[in-house]
Amino acid sequence: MKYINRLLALLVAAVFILSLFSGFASAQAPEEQYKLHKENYEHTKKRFEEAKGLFEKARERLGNTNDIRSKEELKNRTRDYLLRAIDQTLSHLEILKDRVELRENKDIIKFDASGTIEAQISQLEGMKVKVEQAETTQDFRAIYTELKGMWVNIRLETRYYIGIVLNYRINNFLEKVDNVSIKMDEAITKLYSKGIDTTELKKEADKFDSIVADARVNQQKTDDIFEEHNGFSPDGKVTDASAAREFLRKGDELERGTVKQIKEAAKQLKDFVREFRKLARGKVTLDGGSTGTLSGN
Amino acid sequence: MKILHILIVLVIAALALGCIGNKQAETKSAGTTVQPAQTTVSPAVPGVDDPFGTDVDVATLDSMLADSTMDISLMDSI
Repeated sequence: MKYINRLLALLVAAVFILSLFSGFASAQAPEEQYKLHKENYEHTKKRFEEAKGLFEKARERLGNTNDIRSKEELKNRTRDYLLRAIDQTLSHLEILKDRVELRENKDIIKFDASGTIEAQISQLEGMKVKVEQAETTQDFRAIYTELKGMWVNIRLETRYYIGIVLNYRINNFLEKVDNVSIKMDEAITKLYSKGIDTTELKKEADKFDSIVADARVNQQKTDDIFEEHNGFSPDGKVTDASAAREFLRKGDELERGTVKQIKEAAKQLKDFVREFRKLARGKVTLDGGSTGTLSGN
Repeated sequence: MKILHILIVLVIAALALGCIGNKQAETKSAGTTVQPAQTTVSPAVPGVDDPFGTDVDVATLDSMLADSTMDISLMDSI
């Protein structure tokens, strides 16, 4: 009996230790949380679209009927549509909250974007309670008007926050590219000093520099309009929806343009690396620095 | 025997605190299909073809652009 007790004690101890490790493993990193929220977003989006379809059909079929059963069905469909719409808004906010709270994005936004998102989440949770309690068409319509108004601001504010972070990342990339250009020049000089013809390699480097120069011009325009942040107060709240919409439209267009140029530059850089390897054939290696190592095959 | 009781209490406490099986993905309601999200998987370290690690930067920028386009198609009125 004593032996069995000891064995049981050992087993329970092992389970306890394992459970602690399981706890550590399940503590999610912000990146994992972001990924999970993205999955949840797709899920809530699907459910929202389904609820919307069912509500539209019910409204068409039962909108003019007066019997209690039909009215009850329409009420349930309306409630479901509203709840799913709130859920999707919430999952949208969760993703953007993760995005601004990611380790690498901390402190980029100079105001409390996370706090604003949290306040919006609380407001939406309160709205869900109101939907559950709503009984009349007027109740539902009042909530829906509130939700739509809120969504306009949420959409504008979260686009602004993402725009700020994206802008910062683009600027970071362009700074990094300065070092890449230096490395490219070093590679060309080294090969040239060994008597290797670097004409083609130089052309690849020039193309890269030209694309990056265009991206910088575009980026400067983006920086300028983000500096003005028309339609938004210094703490990131919408003050003029129309001006905010126009600012974000321009900002989005410019940022998309710059990202396109960055992609071209990245592709061009690969062409340069391939050409370098072809010429160097293991004879030349450029290493050190923070941006990478170039070595010939 | 006493130590056995203490350990059982500890395991129950760990369970209650959510240390065991606390995976968010499992909290989704049963019978629902979760669509794979459009998450960008990018190489963590620069590869041979990408010695400067620009693929990682480009993937991050792309993923942020995707987030900025998320929208909800609310009906005009109910």
